[in-house]
Amino acid sequence: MNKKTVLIFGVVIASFVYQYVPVSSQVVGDDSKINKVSDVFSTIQSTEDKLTIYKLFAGSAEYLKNCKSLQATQQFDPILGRVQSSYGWNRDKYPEFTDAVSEYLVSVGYDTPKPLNTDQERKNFSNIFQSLAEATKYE
Amino acid sequence: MSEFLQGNDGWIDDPRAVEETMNDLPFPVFQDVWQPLKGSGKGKCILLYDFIKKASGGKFPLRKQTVGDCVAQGAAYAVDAVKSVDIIINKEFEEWVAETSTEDIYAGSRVIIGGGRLRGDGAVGAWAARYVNEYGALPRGKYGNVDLTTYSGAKARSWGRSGAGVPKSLMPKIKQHPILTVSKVTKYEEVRDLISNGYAVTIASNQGFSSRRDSEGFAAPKGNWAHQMCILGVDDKHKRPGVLVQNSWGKWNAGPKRHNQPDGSFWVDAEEIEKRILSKGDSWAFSGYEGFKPRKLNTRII
Repeated sequence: MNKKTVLIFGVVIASFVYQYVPVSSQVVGDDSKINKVSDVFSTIQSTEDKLTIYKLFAGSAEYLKNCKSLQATQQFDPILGRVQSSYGWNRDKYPEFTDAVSEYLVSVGYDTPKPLNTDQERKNFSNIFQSLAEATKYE
Repeated sequence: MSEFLQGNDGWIDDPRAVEETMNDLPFPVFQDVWQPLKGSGKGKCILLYDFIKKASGGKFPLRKQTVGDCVAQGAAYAVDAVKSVDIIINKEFEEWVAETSTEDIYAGSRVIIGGGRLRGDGAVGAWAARYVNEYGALPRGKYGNVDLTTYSGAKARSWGRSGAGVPKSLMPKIKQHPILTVSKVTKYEEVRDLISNGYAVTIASNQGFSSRRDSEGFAAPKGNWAHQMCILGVDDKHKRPGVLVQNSWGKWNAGPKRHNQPDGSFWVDAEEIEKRILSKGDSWAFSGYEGFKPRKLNTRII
Protein backbone atom coordinates (compact mmCIF):
# COMPACT_ATOMS: atom_id res chain seq x y z
CA MET A 1 0.00 0.00 0.00
CA ASN A 2 1.62 3.28 -1.01
CA LYS A 3 1.69 6.47 1.06
CA LYS A 4 -1.13 8.16 -0.86
CA THR A 5 -3.37 5.13 -0.46
CA VAL A 6 -2.72 5.16 3.28
CA LEU A 7 -3.67 8.85 3.44
CA ILE A 8 -6.87 8.31 1.49
CA PHE A 9 -7.72 5.29 3.60
CA GLY A 10 -7.18 7.46 6.67
CA VAL A 11 -9.67 10.07 5.48
CA VAL A 12 -12.24 7.41 4.62
CA ILE A 13 -11.91 5.81 8.07
CA ALA A 14 -12.08 9.23 9.70
CA SER A 15 -15.25 9.96 7.72
CA PHE A 16 -16.96 6.85 9.10
CA VAL A 17 -15.80 7.42 12.66
CA TYR A 18 -16.58 11.09 12.70
CA GLN A 19 -20.25 10.83 11.81
CA TYR A 20 -20.92 9.87 15.44
CA VAL A 21 -18.77 12.58 17.01
CA PRO A 22 -20.27 15.96 17.93
CA VAL A 23 -18.62 18.88 16.14
CA SER A 24 -17.99 22.43 17.19
CA SER A 25 -17.01 25.34 14.97
CA GLN A 26 -13.74 27.10 15.75
CA VAL A 27 -13.12 29.17 12.67
CA VAL A 28 -13.38 32.90 12.97
CA GLY A 29 -14.81 34.11 9.70
CA ASP A 30 -17.75 35.74 8.10
CA ASP A 31 -20.83 34.14 9.70
CA SER A 32 -22.97 34.99 6.72
CA LYS A 33 -20.83 32.74 4.53
CA ILE A 34 -21.09 29.67 6.74
CA ASN A 35 -24.77 30.38 7.32
CA LYS A 36 -25.28 30.40 3.59
CA VAL A 37 -23.59 26.99 3.36
CA SER A 38 -26.05 25.74 5.92
CA ASP A 39 -29.02 27.31 4.14
CA VAL A 40 -28.15 25.91 0.75
CA PHE A 41 -27.36 22.54 2.28
CA SER A 42 -30.86 22.37 3.71
CA THR A 43 -32.34 22.69 0.21
CA ILE A 44 -30.69 19.45 -0.92
CA GLN A 45 -33.40 16.80 -1.09
CA SER A 46 -31.35 13.60 -1.07
CA THR A 47 -30.73 12.43 2.49
CA GLU A 48 -28.03 10.11 1.18
CA ASP A 49 -26.16 13.00 -0.43
CA LYS A 50 -26.53 15.09 2.68
CA LEU A 51 -24.98 12.36 4.77
CA THR A 52 -22.12 11.95 2.28
CA ILE A 53 -21.36 15.67 2.32
CA TYR A 54 -21.33 15.71 6.09
CA LYS A 55 -19.08 12.66 6.27
CA LEU A 56 -16.63 14.17 3.78
CA PHE A 57 -16.28 17.39 5.77
CA ALA A 58 -16.27 15.77 9.19
CA GLY A 59 -13.81 13.09 8.11
CA SER A 60 -11.54 15.70 6.60
CA ALA A 61 -11.55 17.72 9.81
CA GLU A 62 -10.72 14.70 11.93
CA TYR A 63 -8.01 13.53 9.55
CA LEU A 64 -6.36 16.95 9.24
CA LYS A 65 -6.31 17.45 12.98
CA ASN A 66 -4.21 14.34 13.46
CA CYS A 67 -2.28 13.92 10.21
CA LYS A 68 1.34 14.97 10.33
CA SER A 69 2.39 13.73 6.91
CA LEU A 70 1.09 16.74 4.97
CA GLN A 71 3.54 19.61 4.63
CA ALA A 72 1.25 22.13 2.96
CA THR A 73 -2.46 22.77 2.50
CA GLN A 74 -2.36 22.24 -1.25
CA GLN A 75 -1.47 18.59 -0.69
CA PHE A 76 -4.90 17.87 0.75
CA ASP A 77 -7.14 18.58 -2.23
CA PRO A 78 -5.94 15.61 -4.33
CA ILE A 79 -6.54 13.35 -1.32
CA LEU A 80 -10.03 14.71 -0.79
CA GLY A 81 -10.69 14.25 -4.50
CA ARG A 82 -9.80 10.59 -4.31
CA VAL A 83 -11.91 10.04 -1.23
CA GLN A 84 -14.82 11.67 -3.03
CA SER A 85 -14.28 9.31 -5.95
CA SER A 86 -14.30 6.35 -3.60
CA TYR A 87 -17.72 7.54 -2.39
CA GLY A 88 -18.88 7.92 -5.98
CA TRP A 89 -19.23 11.65 -5.35
CA ASN A 90 -18.86 14.13 -8.21
CA ARG A 91 -17.90 17.70 -7.43
CA ASP A 92 -20.38 20.37 -8.47
CA LYS A 93 -23.27 17.92 -8.18
CA TYR A 94 -25.12 20.78 -6.48
CA PRO A 95 -23.56 23.88 -8.06
CA GLU A 96 -25.27 26.33 -5.73
CA PHE A 97 -23.95 24.43 -2.74
CA THR A 98 -20.47 24.27 -4.27
CA ASP A 99 -20.66 28.06 -4.78
CA ALA A 100 -21.61 28.60 -1.15
CA VAL A 101 -18.77 26.40 0.12
CA SER A 102 -16.34 28.10 -2.23
CA GLU A 103 -17.34 31.55 -0.99
CA TYR A 104 -16.91 30.41 2.58
CA LEU A 105 -13.47 28.93 1.82
CA VAL A 106 -12.33 32.17 0.20
CA SER A 107 -13.60 34.13 3.20
CA VAL A 108 -11.44 32.10 5.59
CA GLY A 109 -8.36 32.19 3.34
CA TYR A 110 -8.39 28.54 2.28
CA ASP A 111 -7.42 29.53 -1.26
CA THR A 112 -4.02 30.84 -0.18
CA PRO A 113 -1.63 27.90 0.17
CA LYS A 114 -0.12 27.57 3.62
CA PRO A 115 2.44 25.29 5.23
CA LEU A 116 1.32 22.64 7.70
CA ASN A 117 4.41 22.38 9.84
CA THR A 118 3.03 22.98 13.31
CA ASP A 119 0.10 21.63 15.37
CA GLN A 120 -1.48 25.07 15.28
CA GLU A 121 -1.26 25.26 11.48
CA ARG A 122 -2.85 21.81 11.21
CA LYS A 123 -5.55 22.77 13.70
CA ASN A 124 -6.36 25.97 11.82
CA PHE A 125 -6.71 24.04 8.58
CA SER A 126 -8.77 21.32 10.24
CA ASN A 127 -11.11 23.92 11.75
CA ILE A 128 -12.16 25.08 8.30
CA PHE A 129 -13.54 21.63 7.61
CA GLN A 130 -14.92 21.33 11.11
CA SER A 131 -17.02 24.44 10.53
CA LEU A 132 -18.26 23.00 7.26
CA ALA A 133 -19.12 19.76 9.05
CA GLU A 134 -21.11 21.64 11.63
CA ALA A 135 -22.91 23.59 8.93
CA THR A 136 -23.85 20.40 7.14
CA LYS A 137 -24.58 18.15 10.09
CA TYR A 138 -27.52 16.07 9.04
CA GLU A 139 -29.82 14.67 11.65
CA MET B 1 31.85 18.50 -35.15
CA SER B 2 28.39 17.06 -34.62
CA GLU B 3 26.50 15.93 -37.70
CA PHE B 4 23.27 17.00 -36.02
CA LEU B 5 23.89 20.72 -35.89
CA GLN B 6 26.60 21.20 -38.46
CA GLY B 7 29.01 22.50 -35.85
CA ASN B 8 26.48 24.67 -34.01
CA ASP B 9 26.82 22.71 -30.79
CA GLY B 10 27.98 25.80 -28.99
CA TRP B 11 30.41 25.10 -26.18
CA ILE B 12 33.46 27.35 -26.22
CA ASP B 13 36.61 25.72 -24.88
CA ASP B 14 38.21 28.60 -23.01
CA PRO B 15 40.03 27.60 -19.80
CA ARG B 16 41.03 31.19 -19.12
CA ALA B 17 37.41 32.35 -19.24
CA VAL B 18 36.51 29.54 -16.83
CA GLU B 19 39.25 30.64 -14.47
CA GLU B 20 38.16 34.29 -14.59
CA THR B 21 34.52 33.35 -14.03
CA MET B 22 35.35 31.20 -11.03
CA ASN B 23 37.13 34.01 -9.23
CA ASP B 24 34.00 35.53 -7.74
CA LEU B 25 32.22 32.32 -6.80
CA PRO B 26 31.94 31.48 -3.08
CA PHE B 27 32.57 27.74 -3.62
CA PRO B 28 34.36 27.64 -6.96
CA VAL B 29 35.71 24.10 -6.58
CA PHE B 30 33.48 21.37 -5.23
CA GLN B 31 36.44 19.35 -4.00
CA ASP B 32 37.06 22.03 -1.36
CA VAL B 33 33.65 21.49 0.21
CA TRP B 34 33.19 17.82 -0.65
CA GLN B 35 33.96 16.27 2.73
CA PRO B 36 30.40 16.20 4.16
CA LEU B 37 29.09 14.37 1.08
CA LYS B 38 32.09 12.17 0.36
CA GLY B 39 31.13 8.56 -0.28
CA SER B 40 27.40 9.19 0.22
CA GLY B 41 26.58 8.11 -3.33
CA LYS B 42 28.64 4.94 -3.32
CA GLY B 43 26.62 1.95 -4.51
CA LYS B 44 23.50 4.03 -5.14
CA CYS B 45 21.27 4.52 -8.15
CA ILE B 46 19.64 7.97 -8.22
CA LEU B 47 17.59 9.10 -11.22
CA LEU B 48 16.99 12.85 -11.20
CA TYR B 49 14.94 12.60 -14.39
CA ASP B 50 12.32 10.66 -12.43
CA PHE B 51 11.96 13.64 -10.10
CA ILE B 52 11.50 15.94 -13.10
CA LYS B 53 8.84 13.59 -14.49
CA LYS B 54 7.07 13.51 -11.15
CA ALA B 55 7.26 17.24 -10.40
CA SER B 56 6.14 18.18 -13.92
CA GLY B 57 3.22 15.77 -13.94
CA GLY B 58 4.87 13.57 -16.54
CA LYS B 59 5.93 16.41 -18.83
CA PHE B 60 9.64 15.71 -19.04
CA PRO B 61 11.07 18.37 -21.38
CA LEU B 62 12.61 16.91 -24.52
CA ARG B 63 14.72 19.87 -25.55
CA LYS B 64 15.81 20.31 -29.16
CA GLN B 65 18.19 23.17 -29.77
CA THR B 66 18.23 24.86 -33.17
CA VAL B 67 21.24 27.13 -32.65
CA GLY B 68 24.51 26.83 -30.75
CA ASP B 69 22.94 27.40 -27.33
CA CYS B 70 23.75 24.00 -25.83
CA VAL B 71 25.30 25.65 -22.78
CA ALA B 72 21.93 27.15 -21.89
CA GLN B 73 20.12 23.91 -22.73
CA GLY B 74 22.33 21.88 -20.39
CA ALA B 75 22.04 24.49 -17.65
CA ALA B 76 18.24 24.56 -18.02
CA TYR B 77 18.08 20.78 -17.52
CA ALA B 78 20.15 21.19 -14.37
CA VAL B 79 17.76 23.87 -13.08
CA ASP B 80 14.79 21.60 -13.91
CA ALA B 81 16.41 18.83 -11.88
CA VAL B 82 17.22 20.83 -8.76
CA LYS B 83 13.84 22.52 -8.67
CA SER B 84 12.18 19.08 -8.94
CA VAL B 85 14.32 17.76 -6.11
CA ASP B 86 13.32 20.77 -4.01
CA ILE B 87 9.65 19.99 -4.62
CA ILE B 88 9.67 16.19 -4.40
CA ILE B 89 12.46 15.35 -1.95
CA ASN B 90 13.04 18.48 0.08
CA LYS B 91 9.26 19.10 0.24
CA GLU B 92 9.79 22.80 -0.21
CA PHE B 93 6.64 24.84 -0.42
CA GLU B 94 6.99 25.42 -4.13
CA GLU B 95 5.36 24.32 -7.35
CA TRP B 96 6.49 23.29 -10.80
CA VAL B 97 5.44 25.98 -13.25
CA ALA B 98 7.03 24.85 -16.51
CA GLU B 99 10.37 23.72 -17.91
CA THR B 100 13.19 26.23 -17.54
CA SER B 101 13.61 28.70 -20.40
CA THR B 102 16.94 28.81 -22.19
CA GLU B 103 17.01 32.08 -24.14
CA ASP B 104 17.60 34.23 -21.05
CA ILE B 105 20.32 31.90 -19.71
CA TYR B 106 22.06 31.97 -23.08
CA ALA B 107 21.92 35.74 -23.39
CA GLY B 108 22.83 36.38 -19.76
CA SER B 109 25.79 34.02 -19.99
CA ARG B 110 27.19 35.59 -23.13
CA VAL B 111 26.44 39.24 -22.57
CA ILE B 112 26.40 39.79 -18.80
CA ILE B 113 28.98 37.24 -17.65
CA GLY B 114 30.99 36.84 -20.87
CA GLY B 115 31.00 40.58 -21.54
CA GLY B 116 29.70 40.19 -25.10
CA ARG B 117 33.09 39.15 -26.38
CA LEU B 118 31.87 36.28 -28.62
CA ARG B 119 30.76 36.88 -32.20
CA GLY B 120 29.38 33.51 -33.36
CA ASP B 121 27.14 31.13 -31.39
CA GLY B 122 28.25 29.53 -28.15
CA ALA B 123 29.14 30.11 -24.54
CA VAL B 124 31.39 28.84 -21.76
CA GLY B 125 29.87 26.39 -19.25
CA ALA B 126 31.14 28.47 -16.34
CA TRP B 127 29.34 31.54 -17.70
CA ALA B 128 25.96 29.82 -17.52
CA ALA B 129 26.71 28.42 -14.06
CA ARG B 130 27.65 31.80 -12.73
CA TYR B 131 24.76 33.53 -14.47
CA VAL B 132 22.06 31.28 -12.92
CA ASN B 133 23.81 31.63 -9.55
CA GLU B 134 24.28 35.39 -9.64
CA TYR B 135 21.01 36.17 -11.47
CA GLY B 136 18.66 33.21 -11.87
CA ALA B 137 16.42 31.28 -14.23
CA LEU B 138 12.75 31.41 -15.16
CA PRO B 139 10.25 28.77 -16.21
CA ARG B 140 8.75 29.12 -19.66
CA GLY B 141 5.86 31.57 -19.70
CA LYS B 142 4.82 35.09 -20.54
CA TYR B 143 6.38 37.92 -18.59
CA GLY B 144 4.71 41.18 -19.56
CA ASN B 145 5.43 41.66 -23.23
CA VAL B 146 8.22 39.09 -23.24
CA ASP B 147 7.00 35.71 -24.43
CA LEU B 148 9.19 32.79 -23.36
CA THR B 149 6.41 30.21 -23.70
CA THR B 150 8.03 28.32 -26.57
CA TYR B 151 11.71 27.81 -27.31
CA SER B 152 13.12 30.04 -30.01
CA GLY B 153 16.69 29.57 -31.19
CA ALA B 154 16.39 32.82 -33.13
CA LYS B 155 15.45 34.71 -29.98
CA ALA B 156 18.35 33.16 -28.09
CA ARG B 157 20.74 34.17 -30.83
CA SER B 158 19.28 37.67 -31.03
CA TRP B 159 19.40 38.29 -27.28
CA GLY B 160 22.86 36.74 -27.12
CA ARG B 161 24.41 39.29 -29.48
CA SER B 162 26.96 41.68 -28.09
CA GLY B 163 25.10 44.81 -27.07
CA ALA B 164 21.75 43.04 -26.82
CA GLY B 165 21.24 40.79 -23.76
CA VAL B 166 18.32 39.76 -21.58
CA PRO B 167 15.43 42.28 -21.78
CA LYS B 168 15.70 44.64 -18.81
CA SER B 169 12.08 44.05 -17.80
CA LEU B 170 12.89 40.37 -17.14
CA MET B 171 15.79 40.93 -14.78
CA PRO B 172 13.83 41.67 -11.58
CA LYS B 173 11.85 38.45 -12.08
CA ILE B 174 14.95 36.41 -12.90
CA LYS B 175 16.72 37.67 -9.80
CA GLN B 176 13.98 36.22 -7.61
CA HIS B 177 14.90 32.70 -8.73
CA PRO B 178 18.62 31.99 -8.51
CA ILE B 179 20.43 28.69 -8.20
CA LEU B 180 21.83 28.84 -4.69
CA THR B 181 25.37 27.54 -5.30
CA VAL B 182 27.46 26.33 -8.23
CA SER B 183 30.83 24.56 -8.02
CA LYS B 184 33.20 23.03 -10.52
CA VAL B 185 33.50 19.22 -10.50
CA THR B 186 36.29 17.15 -11.97
CA LYS B 187 35.85 13.57 -10.67
CA TYR B 188 33.25 10.84 -11.15
CA GLU B 189 33.04 10.28 -7.39
CA GLU B 190 32.15 13.93 -6.90
CA VAL B 191 29.42 13.69 -9.51
CA ARG B 192 28.14 10.45 -7.97
CA ASP B 193 27.90 11.99 -4.50
CA LEU B 194 26.37 15.22 -5.79
CA ILE B 195 23.66 13.54 -7.86
CA SER B 196 22.89 11.25 -4.92
CA ASN B 197 22.26 14.34 -2.83
CA GLY B 198 19.96 15.97 -5.35
CA TYR B 199 22.39 18.24 -7.15
CA ALA B 200 22.56 18.32 -10.94
CA VAL B 201 25.73 18.58 -13.01
CA THR B 202 26.33 20.25 -16.37
CA ILE B 203 29.13 18.78 -18.45
CA ALA B 204 31.03 20.38 -21.30
CA SER B 205 33.78 19.09 -23.55
CA ASN B 206 34.76 18.27 -27.11
CA GLN B 207 33.88 14.60 -26.68
CA GLY B 208 31.17 13.11 -28.90
CA PHE B 209 29.21 9.87 -28.44
CA SER B 210 27.62 7.21 -30.59
CA SER B 211 23.98 7.71 -31.54
CA ARG B 212 23.41 4.01 -30.85
CA ARG B 213 23.08 2.84 -27.24
CA ASP B 214 24.44 -0.59 -26.41
CA SER B 215 22.46 -3.39 -24.73
CA GLU B 216 22.82 -1.65 -21.34
CA GLY B 217 21.90 1.83 -22.53
CA PHE B 218 25.48 3.12 -22.75
CA ALA B 219 26.83 5.13 -25.68
CA ALA B 220 30.45 4.71 -26.68
CA PRO B 221 32.68 7.78 -27.05
CA LYS B 222 32.79 8.71 -30.72
CA GLY B 223 33.66 11.85 -32.68
CA ASN B 224 34.00 15.43 -31.52
CA TRP B 225 31.27 17.71 -30.24
CA ALA B 226 32.01 21.11 -28.74
CA HIS B 227 29.02 20.62 -26.53
CA GLN B 228 27.39 21.03 -23.12
CA MET B 229 24.87 18.51 -21.76
CA CYS B 230 23.52 17.61 -18.32
CA ILE B 231 23.89 14.63 -16.01
CA LEU B 232 20.46 13.58 -14.71
CA GLY B 233 21.24 10.29 -13.02
CA VAL B 234 23.90 8.05 -11.56
CA ASP B 235 23.98 4.28 -11.19
CA ASP B 236 26.86 3.25 -8.99
CA LYS B 237 25.40 -0.12 -8.10
CA HIS B 238 25.33 -1.43 -11.65
CA LYS B 239 28.17 -3.68 -12.80
CA ARG B 240 29.16 -0.75 -15.04
CA PRO B 241 29.01 2.33 -12.80
CA GLY B 242 28.11 5.41 -14.78
CA VAL B 243 26.04 8.50 -15.30
CA LEU B 244 22.96 9.29 -17.36
CA VAL B 245 23.68 12.12 -19.79
CA GLN B 246 20.77 14.08 -21.22
CA ASN B 247 21.35 15.69 -24.59
CA SER B 248 19.38 18.59 -26.11
CA TRP B 249 18.93 17.34 -29.66
CA GLY B 250 15.45 15.89 -29.27
CA LYS B 251 15.12 12.18 -30.06
CA TRP B 252 18.46 11.96 -31.81
CA ASN B 253 19.68 8.53 -30.68
CA ALA B 254 18.34 4.97 -30.42
CA GLY B 255 18.97 1.62 -28.81
CA PRO B 256 18.12 -0.18 -25.55
CA LYS B 257 17.24 1.85 -22.47
CA ARG B 258 17.67 1.25 -18.75
CA HIS B 259 15.65 2.53 -15.76
CA ASN B 260 13.06 4.05 -18.13
CA GLN B 261 15.55 6.73 -19.14
CA PRO B 262 14.25 9.70 -21.20
CA ASP B 263 14.50 9.95 -24.98
CA GLY B 264 17.67 11.66 -26.12
CA SER B 265 19.70 10.35 -23.18
CA PHE B 266 22.47 7.77 -22.84
CA TRP B 267 24.61 6.24 -20.11
CA VAL B 268 28.35 6.91 -19.97
CA ASP B 269 30.85 4.74 -18.09
CA ALA B 270 32.31 6.34 -14.97
CA GLU B 271 35.89 6.28 -16.18
CA GLU B 272 34.94 7.72 -19.57
CA ILE B 273 33.02 10.64 -18.11
CA GLU B 274 35.93 11.52 -15.86
CA LYS B 275 38.70 11.04 -18.40
CA ARG B 276 37.02 12.54 -21.45
CA ILE B 277 34.72 15.23 -20.05
CA LEU B 278 35.18 16.21 -16.41
CA SER B 279 38.91 16.59 -16.93
CA LYS B 280 38.24 19.47 -19.33
CA GLY B 281 37.43 21.63 -16.30
CA ASP B 282 34.11 23.18 -17.33
CA SER B 283 31.56 20.92 -15.61
CA TRP B 284 29.38 22.41 -12.88
CA ALA B 285 27.24 21.23 -10.01
CA PHE B 286 24.03 23.18 -9.36
CA SER B 287 22.47 23.18 -5.88
CA GLY B 288 18.96 24.27 -4.78
CA TYR B 289 16.70 26.66 -6.64
CA GLU B 290 14.76 29.58 -5.21
CA GLY B 291 11.47 28.41 -6.64
CA PHE B 292 7.90 29.52 -7.06
CA LYS B 293 5.33 29.55 -4.29
CA PRO B 294 1.97 28.08 -5.29
CA ARG B 295 -0.63 30.68 -6.13
CA LYS B 296 -4.27 29.90 -5.31
CA LEU B 297 -6.01 26.67 -4.37
CA ASN B 298 -9.20 25.40 -5.93
CA THR B 299 -12.11 26.18 -3.65
CA ARG B 300 -14.77 24.22 -5.56
CA ILE B 301 -14.05 21.16 -3.47
CA ILE B 302 -17.49 19.61 -3.06
